Amino acid sequence: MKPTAPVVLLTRHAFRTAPGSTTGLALLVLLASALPAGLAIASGALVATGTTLPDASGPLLGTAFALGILFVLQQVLLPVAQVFAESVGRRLDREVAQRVLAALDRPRELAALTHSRTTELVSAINDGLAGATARDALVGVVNMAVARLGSAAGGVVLCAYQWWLGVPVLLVHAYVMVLVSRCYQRALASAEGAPARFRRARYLRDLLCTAPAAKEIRVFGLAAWILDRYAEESSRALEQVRSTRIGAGRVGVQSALLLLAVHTATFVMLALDVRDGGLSVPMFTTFAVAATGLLGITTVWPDLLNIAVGGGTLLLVDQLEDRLAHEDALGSPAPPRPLGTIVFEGVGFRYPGSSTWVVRGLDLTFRPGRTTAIVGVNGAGKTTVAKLLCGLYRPTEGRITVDGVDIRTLDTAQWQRRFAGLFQDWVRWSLSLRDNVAFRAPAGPATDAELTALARWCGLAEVVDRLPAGWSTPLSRAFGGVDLSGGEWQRVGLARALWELRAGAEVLLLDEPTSAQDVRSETGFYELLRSATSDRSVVLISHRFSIVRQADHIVVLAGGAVVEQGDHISLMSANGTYAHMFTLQSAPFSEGVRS
Amino acid sequence: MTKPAKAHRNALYAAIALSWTADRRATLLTFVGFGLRPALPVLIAYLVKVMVDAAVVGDTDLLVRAALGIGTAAALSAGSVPYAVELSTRMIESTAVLVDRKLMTLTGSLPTVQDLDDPEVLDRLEVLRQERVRLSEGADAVALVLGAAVRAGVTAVVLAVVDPFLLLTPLLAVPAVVAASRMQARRTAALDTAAADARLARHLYEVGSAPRWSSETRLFGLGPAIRRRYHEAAERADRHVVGALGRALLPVTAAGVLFAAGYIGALLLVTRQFAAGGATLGEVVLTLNLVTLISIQVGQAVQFLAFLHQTVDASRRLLSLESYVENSVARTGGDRSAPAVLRYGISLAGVGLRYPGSGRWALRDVSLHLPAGSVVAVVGVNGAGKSSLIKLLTGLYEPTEGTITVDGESLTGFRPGAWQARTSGCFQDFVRPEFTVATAVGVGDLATADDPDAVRAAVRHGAADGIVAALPDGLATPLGSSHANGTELSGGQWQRLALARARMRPSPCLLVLDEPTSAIDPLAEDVTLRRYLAAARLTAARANGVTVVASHRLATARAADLVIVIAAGAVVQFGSHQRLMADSDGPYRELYERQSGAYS
Repeated sequence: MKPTAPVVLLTRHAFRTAPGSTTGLALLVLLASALPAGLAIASGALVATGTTLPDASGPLLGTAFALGILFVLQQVLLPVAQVFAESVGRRLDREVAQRVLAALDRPRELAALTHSRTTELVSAINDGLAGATARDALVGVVNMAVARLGSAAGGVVLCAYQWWLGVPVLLVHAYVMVLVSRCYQRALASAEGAPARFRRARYLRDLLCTAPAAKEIRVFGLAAWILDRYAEESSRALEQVRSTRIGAGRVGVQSALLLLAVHTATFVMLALDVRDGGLSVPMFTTFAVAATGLLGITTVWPDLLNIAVGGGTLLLVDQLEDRLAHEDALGSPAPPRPLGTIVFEGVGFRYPGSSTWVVRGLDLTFRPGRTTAIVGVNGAGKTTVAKLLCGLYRPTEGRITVDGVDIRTLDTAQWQRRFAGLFQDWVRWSLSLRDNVAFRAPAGPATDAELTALARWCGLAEVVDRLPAGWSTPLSRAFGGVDLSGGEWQRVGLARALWELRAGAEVLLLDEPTSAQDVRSETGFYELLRSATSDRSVVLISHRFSIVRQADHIVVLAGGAVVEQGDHISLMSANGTYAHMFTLQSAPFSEGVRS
Repeated sequence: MTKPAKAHRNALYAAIALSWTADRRATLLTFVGFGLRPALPVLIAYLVKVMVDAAVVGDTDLLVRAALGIGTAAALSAGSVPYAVELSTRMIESTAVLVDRKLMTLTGSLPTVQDLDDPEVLDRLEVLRQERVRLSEGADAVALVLGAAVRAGVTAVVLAVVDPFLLLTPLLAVPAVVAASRMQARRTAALDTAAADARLARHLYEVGSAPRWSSETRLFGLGPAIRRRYHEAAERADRHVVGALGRALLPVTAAGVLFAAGYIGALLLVTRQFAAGGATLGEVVLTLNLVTLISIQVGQAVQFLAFLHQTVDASRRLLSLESYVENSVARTGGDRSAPAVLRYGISLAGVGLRYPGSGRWALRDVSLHLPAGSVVAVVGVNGAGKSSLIKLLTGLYEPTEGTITVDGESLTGFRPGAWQARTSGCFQDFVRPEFTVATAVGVGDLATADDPDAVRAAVRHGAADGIVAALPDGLATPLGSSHANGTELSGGQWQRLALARARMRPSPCLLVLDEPTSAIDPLAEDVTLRRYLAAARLTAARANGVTVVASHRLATARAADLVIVIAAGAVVQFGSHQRLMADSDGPYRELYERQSGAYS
């Protein structure tokens, strides 16, 4: 299938985003395009009046004045249209970004998002949005449209001389324009393929140019080394991109010969007609201006590149939306409230396309109000269990039920909202502390009083006290606020999860909630947790046995399967994997106590 | 940040130099093509004049030759388009790569991490990142302006030949060009003002579109709120820029009217000359055509100048970043080399650190001596200043007050990078380098990065051999999503590679470990760290180096020679584990007993 021309895409999207403004913009462009033809006609009129009438006569001044008006419009209409296009284009940029966000928000399960084609599309779109944006492209469309339509209007004037001359001349010019445009279509194709090819180069650039890796780059002295890798990767990518373009030679020669023929023919014909008295000099002037103006139709400006990249990005956005359009999971009944007992029945999970089972044969029961701890070595499948539980992953085999009902038959979006999760990687918003805890306030903005109560549970109160603007302090130095330490951030994450629990979630999911906590916060963590969650269900993944031991129920995972479950006392007396792990972690301290 | 006058003068030159350096041939040909092609319409207008005059006297031969001339000029004009496109595309592509390299070189040569924390520097980098395309298309813009200038020159000469008074017409076009320049200046100022909002919008967009956060955004149902906030921030930024542009349209219009008055005057002048017999009919037509062409040229010149302005602005930003980096490098660099072997150790005297833009002291009044050859543990609650102390020791941050000395020599006296070359480390926010496993570890010491034995040994020391063995291609497995077939690792796995990386340098004078096992397995955490420290101690012995480990696991502190207890940015206790435990009211003993109590 032939891809839609970027100009068409841009226009279509602009119209969809802002129909009124886009129509206005189009009218403005049409008006500006009619000016060259008007100038050609008025020029002829001026020569006619100027050479036949006495000096400074009324008609002469009138014609000159009319020319002046056209002349002013020609200078003013384009900048006005450009500003207008920039305004519509910026609106389009916002719309595009929001459509990408909405599309990515649509699938309820993670599999569709982590698919390599999706991530490729997103990274290509983001690169497009960072480079030539839709707004640059739209300004480019306006520039090109005014230039090309204006020239074409000259061809129409020529038809008034001899239609059998005007029509073919116009057609030949249109053909040359198409030839040249094809040349640029190919550039478009390579520009579209470029982001994927430059992915490695882009990674290396961002690695060196952004803050996260700055420390190690300086300690290990990697700047020059990364630059060398970038040079290698980018020249390889450039070579690949260029190999997809075909040389410009043939198109150039063909265009030149065609235009040589039509222009020579037109002017010879006009010349002979003037000599023989069939055409007046003023009329000759009009047609000569119109014919030479036609050349503008073949002009290429740098706008073309912006149009290609901007249009290409829109195409990718359409593709992304198509890809993710069928991922909705709506229309199923809402889950019961409160949630009853959740049961894993022989649940197994593997990533789509992978042959390795991450977890398999899981039989687990999560009773309401109980704290369940999940322990196991790295890669045992702890986080996968949590993600299966809250519907972010769908079991490859087996089923998960709530009160005997398969959760697959329930509304996934609503199911997910019943879980307040703090995973190992949580968003660090460069926004105020308030927004970081209650980004999506359930009912109106969160008051400081509500938040302060919550902060006490999470050990966040002392952090709030030392922030210059309290709850309103942005948590990022880059945004004129304060950066928090890893442990402080983790408490913010915890506060966020508890806020969500308060706002209607029923199960608290915590994945390593104390990994960055110091001793003082860690030792009191469990009591704090229980008092903050009172009768809610808690699922706790933790490496810290000092916390795990206090849970109502402990599940020990190994190699994607449950090897033991029970409470701390029964597991210790079983003297199995759990007892071994617990002893190992407490050993340094028992030595310490002895010494 | 300061903007030296030099930067203003050289911005244009620097923009051209970028493309010239990137692809000499394409740049030269683009200049020739774009520079000469715009003269063709003037030539055609002149040939039309020749035709009119020949028609009046009935010279058929001249008529046909002029017609053929117009045909040839038209052919040249259109036929050169595809070449021009190809060449300028090549030039832009090559320049884009060069601009990236330049940005990378500049960011990479900032000697401290402090600079990258400065909101003003970040803003500047962000605008440059956004406007990068202006730099890569810079020479293109210059060539277009050159073409417009050539055409203006040729037009002026032809007009002067008809009547010197006509030269006033192009002069009246000057205000139009000035108005356009003003419009550009307003655009730049508006972009600067809107940068903070634009950055906020981008932050929201990035979080909302990154797969990394998709679990959280789903569970918390954040999607609609993210989109709404993105929209608000982006709209604020856009409204500001568009508003500024709209206000600039009035002077543009006024200048256009002035020019039109001149245009009418010129036409009346030349028709009067004709009536008086002072000009041929061809010259009337020529003047009409040329002055009309000037109007189109003003439109184009304005557009090209706008294009050029954006280039110059972007180029100026780049130059100002360059001089900022130069200043930074000059400010921090001494000329002494760092010691190969430590003799006395590292000392801090009255050291304090305040982050840029923050009023709070992250650390203050720290005076310590870390003896050569010792292992030092740093403990304290979150936010106490453990990481800040570590960053200061590596020279990645400069103390706001006080000095840090190595064997009596101030850190600031060393050549830039010299002290870092004698250190190694594993940070809390360790990097996840997307290369092969061997490279991700090997970059810890570029000198031996290609030595498989050195890499294997480091992998073993980082207790990462299990991870490597499980990977499809072992050490040759590419990591991360920037590779088409890259393997993703878990946080704990990445951290083990970071630990291995920190072991690549054979004999560092300083090894820093900031919460180095936070993402590692429970079963293994304490054991891994203690083993790691024991091995590091042996390595450090080669250079009599200091090992500093920040950990909230107090079991680690027991394995250290000295313990620094930090609270609220100040050192509250410093001594051996035994000595600190002996202080029954001290914070260290309280912390230790609390943690060990959780297991008994």
